[in-house]
Amino acid sequence: MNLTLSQRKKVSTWSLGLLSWIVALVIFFPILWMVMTSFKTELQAISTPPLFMWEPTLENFSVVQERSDYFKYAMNSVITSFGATFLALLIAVPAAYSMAFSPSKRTKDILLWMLSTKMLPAVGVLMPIYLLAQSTGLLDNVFSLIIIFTMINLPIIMWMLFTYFKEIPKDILEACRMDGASTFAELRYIVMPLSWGGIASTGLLSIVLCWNEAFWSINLTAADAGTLTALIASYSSPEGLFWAKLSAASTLACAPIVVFGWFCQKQLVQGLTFGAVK
Amino acid sequence: MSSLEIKKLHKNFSNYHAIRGVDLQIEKGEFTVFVGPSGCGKSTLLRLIAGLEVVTSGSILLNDQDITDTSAAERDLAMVFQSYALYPHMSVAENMSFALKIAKVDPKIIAEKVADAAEILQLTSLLDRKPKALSGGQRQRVAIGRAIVRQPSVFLFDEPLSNLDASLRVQMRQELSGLHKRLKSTMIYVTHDQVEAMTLADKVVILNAGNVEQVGTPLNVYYNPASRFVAEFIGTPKMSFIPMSDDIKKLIANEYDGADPRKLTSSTWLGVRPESVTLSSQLLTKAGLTGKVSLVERLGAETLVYIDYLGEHKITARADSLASIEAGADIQFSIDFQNVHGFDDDGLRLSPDVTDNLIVGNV
Repeated sequence: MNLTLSQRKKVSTWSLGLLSWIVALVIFFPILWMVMTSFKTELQAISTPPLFMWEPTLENFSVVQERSDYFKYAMNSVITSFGATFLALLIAVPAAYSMAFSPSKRTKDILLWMLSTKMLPAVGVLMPIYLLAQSTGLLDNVFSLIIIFTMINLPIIMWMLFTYFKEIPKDILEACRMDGASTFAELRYIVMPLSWGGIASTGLLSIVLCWNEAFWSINLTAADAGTLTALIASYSSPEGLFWAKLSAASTLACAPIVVFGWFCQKQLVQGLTFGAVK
Repeated sequence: MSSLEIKKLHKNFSNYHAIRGVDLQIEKGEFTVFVGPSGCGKSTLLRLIAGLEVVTSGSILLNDQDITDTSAAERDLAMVFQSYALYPHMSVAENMSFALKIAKVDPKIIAEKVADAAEILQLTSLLDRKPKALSGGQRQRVAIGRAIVRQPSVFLFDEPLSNLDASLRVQMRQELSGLHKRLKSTMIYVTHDQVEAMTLADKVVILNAGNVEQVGTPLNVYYNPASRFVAEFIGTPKMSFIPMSDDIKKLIANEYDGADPRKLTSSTWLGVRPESVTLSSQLLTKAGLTGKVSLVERLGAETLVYIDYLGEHKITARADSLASIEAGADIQFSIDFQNVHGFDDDGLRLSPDVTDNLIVGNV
């Protein structure tokens, strides 16, 4: 084939576009399947070959709501993820500020050490934490989840804020100091406004991570403080698998965060690809 | 207006001795310029005065009050940074009023002061803009305005003009000079540009490797450099240095009839400024010294001629704009020994000061 440069460019743009659509569909397919299954009856859900055309039913959703109060679990998810994110930001903003602007010889080591805690398998500390929660009476309590989520996400939040704060030129902070500002005023009027986008996307990421956290909420909560992930998990064990109901519960659990994420897309993308260019 | 005194100031960074015992007195209303090559400690000294670096030993006194352990925020000094360091999320007016807002000054008074400063600096029409919508010169003006609004005890300038292009730099230099005359405040200015130092300063402080080499008025420093370092640093083109030889001793004896009032013959090096060198093409009498022209730079108004003397020693001379001198030619020249300085092995000047009444504004 003898193609001109512009024709070859067109072909490659076109085929790249096609490829990304395929990849996107492959990634999206399980979610699509989950949503589809949630509108089928149990029989339709397990039929082979799988059904692509059927009469949708809302039966699964009402069964899920009857069996366990969806809104209570959703509320627990909201409380724990927003609470933990707020608490983590409260700790991480001043900490990242001090590491970014008055680093010591060990700052790099501390950052690495914090990240290394993320490498520990969570199940390794399940027993001590479970016993701690039990002896303090915090089993099946949202507070214990908030504290644990805070600690889980703190390293990532600190790292992200640290890199955002690092972007602020030192001169500006020195100018601010020369203008007579206290450390608090410096944070309030200069650091926070300048890294507002970064703080927001860090917070959003933390909310998403907390929302999706399953291990600790399944292990430490039951009926009172259970989050949506714990709700989904409850559908996969005792009475065998009920695909349609499981899918309905999962769809309900995913929906709020997907909608939330959709609205905050711009912030999230900016946050996650931060530092990739520049 | 405030005076500033620095006593036996030392600053060590982890393994680097940046400031090595500086003593300095800055009078009320004085425009003091710290000048020196990069790495000489001039910016560090300014940052120590500002309170942005912690003093290792020694003390800093502002109006006889010890401020060595006072934080930068509480020193009542204003600083203009090389990078301008404007707050990017604030408008020009907000940038200028930030310090007063922090100090909880009445908003009415703030507005007045900002308006006044904006007028002085011709920023009135730009007050609502963000820094990114300003040109370099305008940003520099805002940075200066931010300092003016506060009416600080001392203004500190850290190479404020070095990010501007050449013509703007000259303009801002003149504006700064006018500003000092108008405000009559104490100002300390750091630069590596000796032209800025010469034109702006009431008092020049020349720093070298963390030490003060010389303090004086610009012309005093130019005419009576304390050391070879100062002599070489101040003045463009640079002062040339030639080793003492029997030939030169003879010429000096001729000039002074055997006397040596400028102690030149006991020196090891002679410092010769370009204006003290006369080329043979412009001479009526016999020149006395011979060299080879290594480079000719024609600047339009004048021509700079670089002469290799005794092989390795370069002597710079000025010639007329259209002087017919070519590189590679042999050339005869003479030196006006009345204005030459003798330096010893350690680079210290042996020659007595050039007569005081020659120097304008001598202290």
